[in-house]
Amino acid sequence: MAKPKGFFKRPPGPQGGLWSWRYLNWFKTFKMVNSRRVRGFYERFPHVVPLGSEFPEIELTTTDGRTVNTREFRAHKHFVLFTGAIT
Amino acid sequence: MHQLQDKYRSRDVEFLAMYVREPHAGERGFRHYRDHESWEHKLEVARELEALKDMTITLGVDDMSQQQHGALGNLPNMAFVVDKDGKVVYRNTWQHAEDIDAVLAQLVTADDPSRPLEPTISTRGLTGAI
Repeated sequence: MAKPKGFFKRPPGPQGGLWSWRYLNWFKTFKMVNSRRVRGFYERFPHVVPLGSEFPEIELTTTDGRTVNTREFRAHKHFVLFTGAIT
Repeated sequence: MHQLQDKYRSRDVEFLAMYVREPHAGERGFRHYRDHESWEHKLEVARELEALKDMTITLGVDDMSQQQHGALGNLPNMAFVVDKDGKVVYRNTWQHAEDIDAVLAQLVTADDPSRPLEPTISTRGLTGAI
C-alpha cells in the first residue's frame, strides 16, 4: 500500500502554498493558523482515525434530502470521503 | 476528484463529499458568504457549492453541530480512503489527488490483478484560481 506523504501544514500548490493568501484575510488567517485551537486539530489528527483503524460510521443528509451512510459501502465498495466548503 | 471518480467509477469505488462549516466566510474573496445561521441556510449554501462546481459526487451535509466532522478531526479539507473492510488506508489533512489516485490504483489492482490501473492524475499546472 502506498505510504501517505504525511500531513500538509498548508495547502500545496503554487507560490509554496501561499496562493490562498490572495483571497483570505491575512490577519485572520495568521491568527487562525497560530491559534492553539486550530493547532490542536492538526496535532490530534494523527490519532483521531489512524491508518488501519475502523472508519467510524458517518451518516449525512444529501442536498436532495436523502440519507447516505458509509455503512452501505461495507464489503461492496472502497470509498473516498473528503470534506469541503465554498470558502 | 471528478477525474478520479470517472477513472474509478467502474471499479467499485464510491466518492462522498462532506459539506462542513465555511472556514473563510466573509473574508476578502468571499465577502457575501457568512457563517451558517440555520440548517436551511447550510443546505442552501451546499446546493450552491454543488452548482458552482458542477458536482456529480454525492454531497452530504453535516448537521449544525458538526458532529460527524468532529469525529473525523474537524479539519476543513481532509480526505480519507477506506477499503471494503471499512479500514482506513489513507488519510490526509488536504485533498491531494495524486496520492489518492495512487492508493486507489493499488486497491483496485489488488481486487482484480487482471485489470491493473496506474496512477495518472496530476495537479501540476494548478493556478490557484477559484
